Amino acid sequence: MGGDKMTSQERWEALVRREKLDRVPCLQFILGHTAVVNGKPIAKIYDDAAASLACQRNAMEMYGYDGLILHGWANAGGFEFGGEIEYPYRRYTGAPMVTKNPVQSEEDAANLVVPKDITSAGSVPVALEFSRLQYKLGMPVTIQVGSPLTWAGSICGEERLMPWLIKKPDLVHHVLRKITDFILAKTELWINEFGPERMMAFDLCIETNKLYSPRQFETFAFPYLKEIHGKLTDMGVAIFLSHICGEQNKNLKFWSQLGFGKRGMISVGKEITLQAASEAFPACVIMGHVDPVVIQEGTPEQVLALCEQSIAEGKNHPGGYALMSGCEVPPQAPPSNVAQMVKACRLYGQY
Amino acid sequence: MMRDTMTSAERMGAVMKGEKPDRVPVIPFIFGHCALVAGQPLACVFDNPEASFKVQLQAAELYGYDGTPLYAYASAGGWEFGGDVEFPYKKYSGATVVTRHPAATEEEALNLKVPEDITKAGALPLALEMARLQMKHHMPVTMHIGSILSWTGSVIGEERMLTWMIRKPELVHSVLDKVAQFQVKVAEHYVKEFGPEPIMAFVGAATESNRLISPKQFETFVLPYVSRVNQSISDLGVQVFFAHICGEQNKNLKLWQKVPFGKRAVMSFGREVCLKTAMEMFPNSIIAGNVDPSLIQEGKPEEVLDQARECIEMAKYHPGGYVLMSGCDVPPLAPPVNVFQLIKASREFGRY
Repeated sequence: MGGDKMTSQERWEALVRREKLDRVPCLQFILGHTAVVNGKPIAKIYDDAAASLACQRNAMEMYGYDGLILHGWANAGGFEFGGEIEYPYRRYTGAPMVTKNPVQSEEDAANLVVPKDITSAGSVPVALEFSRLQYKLGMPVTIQVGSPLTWAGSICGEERLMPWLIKKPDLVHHVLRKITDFILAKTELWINEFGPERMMAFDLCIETNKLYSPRQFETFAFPYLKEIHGKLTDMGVAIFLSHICGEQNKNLKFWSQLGFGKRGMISVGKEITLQAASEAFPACVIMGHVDPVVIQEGTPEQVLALCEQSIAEGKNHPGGYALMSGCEVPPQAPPSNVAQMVKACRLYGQY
Repeated sequence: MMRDTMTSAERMGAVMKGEKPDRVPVIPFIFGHCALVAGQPLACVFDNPEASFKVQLQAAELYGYDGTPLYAYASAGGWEFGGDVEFPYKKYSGATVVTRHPAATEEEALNLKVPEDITKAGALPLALEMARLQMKHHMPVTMHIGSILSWTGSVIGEERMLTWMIRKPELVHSVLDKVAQFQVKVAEHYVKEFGPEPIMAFVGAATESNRLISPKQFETFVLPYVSRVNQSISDLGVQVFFAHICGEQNKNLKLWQKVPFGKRAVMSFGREVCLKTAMEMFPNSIIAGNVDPSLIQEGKPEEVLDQARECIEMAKYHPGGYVLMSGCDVPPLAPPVNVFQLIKASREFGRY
């Protein structure tokens, strides 16, 4: 296995600037696992900014991957709008989850307001502290900006939200409006403190076609995503990373119409072929899409083979390509399996 | 961090030949942990040579350390002489333990026999299978042959043996003699099957700790037998020994100096023996050690890194050569990021 010719930082910067790389970068979508390999409770990734950053940096150094380090979680939104969450301190829990949705009734939904003080809403204090540490260390400053429909599920409860999409669409639009206003206000806060050129906005988007039809995506997700992506791009945000989670093939034509800051990065699950992603986002970096289940349950050889396949499919994408898992690396994945991803980049990803 | 300019094999090869490697090599002394980072049951390291070989290689690749797989466990001996063992499948168990000692009574001790076919005794079939894999992959063939007192403790039961050393010394000598005969027979078989050149004799001396026995007891019960066994193995042509002098053995060091260790020895020490002392006592041997395993388990990455740096700075220029190592087996549940600090320390502070 040849030694790398670039450091991780050089590789990341070259990817962002659309320059030549020594090999395919490995950008990990990895949160709770970094706590586990540090011998810390998974919850620290979410409720303790300094510990989270330290765990993520230590894991990145050990495995030798090239990013990402960020603060956020899929089930965000509910906490920020006054709901309650539980951090993953209990056995078998892997990420924060909403234990009480702030919207439990149509009346709650109709009365939903954007929190007055954004800086103290839900996870924002920890996220802000995390961003300040990133800034201090010269790293990209990350901010979670949605997606609105995913957050709406966290606010209303997914089982409640889905019937409302059909029976109370105005109520859902009202909630989505408030979420969008919150996200835009949050972004302004970040831009005022850190400037747009260091910022990497990201959204974790569970608008899968297994839950929502493409028509529902077009009606309830797309307009708000378009507004957020457009405004953040206009504000000069350097990088916009979207994790298009799960089966979203029928949503791709909408996703491809969005702005993605100065440099777009698209992460897809194994349900979307890298070729389809490449065609939909020719100018963006495509990231994907090693099956997290195989990373958790497979043998190192199986993980390596999947990585080889992904690299072969994505390596020559004109917008740039990075190897990534198809969704978050499972917290309890065997480290020897996780290590296969960087190994694969070195073995099969040379340019 | 500077890049490595040698492969692990080149690095270890250089140290063994007395040449300068690119940086201090790292051998963590690691068993159960390898299985856990590969997502396998810890016991596979001890009861399944193929899986053991595989997970040890994967861990070496994950961390980037230089050691190659080996088969051994501290509590060896009892099973080989007809006792029972339990492999660590239970929660919180970390290595193979003897559940029935074959010489639990004076009568059993007196009647103890050296197994006729050593290839079928206890863990030997597993150890030999591992050795065949090592041979096939052109790695050092490790041969676990002691230590003599640790094995005898495993045959008799440690608490019983310690009492007999005072009250029934002749009984302990009788068992020590049988264990020594067994170990030489093992060595003869290994040399016959693999030839002497690739063999590295591995001695894990745990029960010899001065927290269990006095230096005088070491002189009486250990020195004659370990010298006899090691000399016989050397006479068979085995040139390389790896001795882990476990725990508090400062008062035994002068006696260990008298033990023959072939032409080239790696002497590994726990936290209790200062590396400076070890270097003075064994100027021609490769010294390996001695990052505290408790720190690797419980400490912060920065603390592990700092202690590894101290070890490197103390021993890096030892004329006999130096290898960074944990002071004993890396605890199976140690956080991987802490284990990685050993390699990081070598890359940051161990350049030649």
